[in-house]
Amino acid sequence: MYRYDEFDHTIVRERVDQFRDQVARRLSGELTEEEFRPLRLMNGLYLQLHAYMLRVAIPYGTLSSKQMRMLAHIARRYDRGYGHFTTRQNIQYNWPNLEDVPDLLADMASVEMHAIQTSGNCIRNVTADPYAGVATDELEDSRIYAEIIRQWSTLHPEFSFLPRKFKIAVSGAPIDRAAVRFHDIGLQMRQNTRGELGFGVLVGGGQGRTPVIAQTIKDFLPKQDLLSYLEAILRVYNMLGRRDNIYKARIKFLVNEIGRDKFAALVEEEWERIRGGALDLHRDEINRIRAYFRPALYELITEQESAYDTARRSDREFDRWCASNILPHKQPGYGIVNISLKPVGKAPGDATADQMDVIAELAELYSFDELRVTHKQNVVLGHVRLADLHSVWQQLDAAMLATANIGLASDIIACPGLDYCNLANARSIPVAQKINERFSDPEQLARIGQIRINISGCINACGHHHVGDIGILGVDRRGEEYYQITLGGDPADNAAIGESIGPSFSYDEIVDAVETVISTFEGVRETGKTFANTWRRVGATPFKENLYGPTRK
Amino acid sequence: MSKKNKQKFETRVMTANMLVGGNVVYLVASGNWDEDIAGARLIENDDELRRLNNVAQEALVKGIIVGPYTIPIAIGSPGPNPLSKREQIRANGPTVPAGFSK
Amino acid sequence: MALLVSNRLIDESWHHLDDKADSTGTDKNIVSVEQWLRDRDTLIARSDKLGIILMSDQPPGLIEADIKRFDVICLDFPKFTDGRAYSYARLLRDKYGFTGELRAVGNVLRDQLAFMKRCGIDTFEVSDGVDARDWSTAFSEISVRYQEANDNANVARQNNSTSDEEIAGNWSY
Repeated sequence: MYRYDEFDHTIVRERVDQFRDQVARRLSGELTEEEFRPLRLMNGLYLQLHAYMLRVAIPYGTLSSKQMRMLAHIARRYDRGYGHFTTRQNIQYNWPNLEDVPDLLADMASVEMHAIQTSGNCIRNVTADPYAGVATDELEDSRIYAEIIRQWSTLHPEFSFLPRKFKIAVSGAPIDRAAVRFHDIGLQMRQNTRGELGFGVLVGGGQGRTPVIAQTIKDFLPKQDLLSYLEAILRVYNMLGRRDNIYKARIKFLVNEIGRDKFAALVEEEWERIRGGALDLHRDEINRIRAYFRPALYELITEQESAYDTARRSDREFDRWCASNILPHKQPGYGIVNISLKPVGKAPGDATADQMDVIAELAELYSFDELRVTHKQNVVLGHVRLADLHSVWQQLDAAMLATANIGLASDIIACPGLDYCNLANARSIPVAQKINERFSDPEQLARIGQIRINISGCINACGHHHVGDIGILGVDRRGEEYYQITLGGDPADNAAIGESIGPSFSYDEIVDAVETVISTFEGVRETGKTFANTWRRVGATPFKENLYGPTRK
Repeated sequence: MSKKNKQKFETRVMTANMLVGGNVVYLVASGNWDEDIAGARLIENDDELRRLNNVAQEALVKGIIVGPYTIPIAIGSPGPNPLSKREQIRANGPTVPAGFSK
Repeated sequence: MALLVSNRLIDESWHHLDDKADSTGTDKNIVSVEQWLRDRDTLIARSDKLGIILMSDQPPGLIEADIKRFDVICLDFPKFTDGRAYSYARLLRDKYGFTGELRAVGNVLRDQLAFMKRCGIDTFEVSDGVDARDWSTAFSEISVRYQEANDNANVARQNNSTSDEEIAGNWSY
């Protein structure tokens, strides 16, 4: 866990005072709404369908127990007792008062949390592998680099008014769990032939109304050049990105317009000019940041965790939860615990203040005081001893947090949709809930296996529908909610954008349509194969036939 | 549309969000802004539309509300009912329980 | 038109040469890039001091060869969201070595002053009708910086002499 110091504290505290002054100027009438709007957006404050919405940054998704308790406090004191964890490792509050926001932020600042750069055309919260530092396969902890990027990009004077928002993701493992191919910049750690670590640099990926898979512009960037190279990319984009059409302003359009090679050459030229300068990350600097991450002091566990094995054998539900929600940890005798925020009948990603407190408590007692929030809208206890798992599970269960569905059909990603969002065309949450109910039988979930169902309430794709095995996109047809289905999307190493399967379905039809897709899959799958696998083998035809009848002509 | 062609005027109400609370409000007969759409003042012709636009502009400048606009409605039994799904949800709140708490 | 210079408001002393009026100007003229490219030699002959204004779609590379001739380079900020000139400012200072006055003009807003200054801009045009009396306080709202730019500010922890061992030793378990 990163240890914030006096320096970090000063910035967030001063930013609160600055925003307090801006709010006061708005309330006194000195600032008009037009003038105030960009200022509040720079601090993550939106005006949504029913009320203001505040988006709070959780840098690379990592939180301490103290910070999670603060999120619970904010939910109780300034909101309606809950918060919504988003697909970008942030949390959103749906009901704050404008007048209260400066006090809310001051409370946040006491634990170094803030809303800086959670909106606006700037470098947004940097995201990372939610299993960074604990995964069995990683080359290096990506949070170190995410933190270095966080510091560099915070209140960056040159890059706070970019053509459009800018998202960076970092993966430290060969298997991509950070969707680096769907970010403006994706950084994929790798080793060169001399055994040195660096990054493959991908640019121009993204979802939204024009989904694009990022392209590599540098195969191997030495670690010490990370910031100078990022600065070169951002400078080229800031000067050349389109500013006449917000729908074509993301970096993907620039890369596409001038071509990857030309873009890479422009970056290279600027980088050659500035590399080795003030932004050089020499080893001492990397070590200094690394030292700010609190190392977990694992116990050396040599013998089998017999209590864990016994509990799995004797408690069927616990065993099922372990099978879906626990991942192997790099340290023998420990496990990575995924806490599902997708129980039947609830809004994906929502947690009540009481649940946040329970999670904080468990992290403090069992997981070195550290938590992660995932882009799949779940929460992770990074390192729990296998021997403690049964007890942790019981405590989670008492708080409705022990749903055994990670990666399964009911672990649905969904944006807030038309229930909360100003941009939405259709509701996402009730559709997710109905699908969740339809697929709530554990045997059935296990049989279907790994599948991503992602729901966005509009073309902006906050619910990541483009990269779902089954993507659901809400559209508006004459004021009515309709839903388009896409199939075959993949956010990771086999990156793919889902293919639209045919005409859209009404609100009342969509859940049946999803069930048809899944039963079609079960009908054509070969034993043990996942949906993604099966889709690549059989393609769209059987799905189309079952959804729309035999193909005409 | 011709001013006199009242047959074709789509009945509307004026809505906005309060500056401080951010809550959804409607312009009611007394000239105040109220959360309940039931009492919203009906706009049934162009003159009325212009008049209420001016009222809304004034409230905007005074910093009472933000983002005023009008929405088409149907007259229902409890009062005006917005035609679009979006405005129905805006008038009645989220269609799903808030968080886990309700 | 007033200017904010070193936290003080002063009156503008430069003449903005009007392209259409074919004005002879004064001995301190600010010209457009178009004027400069067209009448370069005439302008050099008749002006003691020269300034130029770069619109937000005119990167400094356009006048690369002449940059050091100018006493002032104005960067136009047409609206809040157009941030190109922040990069132009940094390039002028770092790449082209411009040491003269770098001035923000156009829609210059209080809440952007600190960013502009950090990019190497040192004077700020105040639009007519704007009350700029409290503008000088905008620079000190955030006192520390995480990243290097073009000011001599207190950059993240550079002066922090804490060793890795001390940081590591600070963990309480």
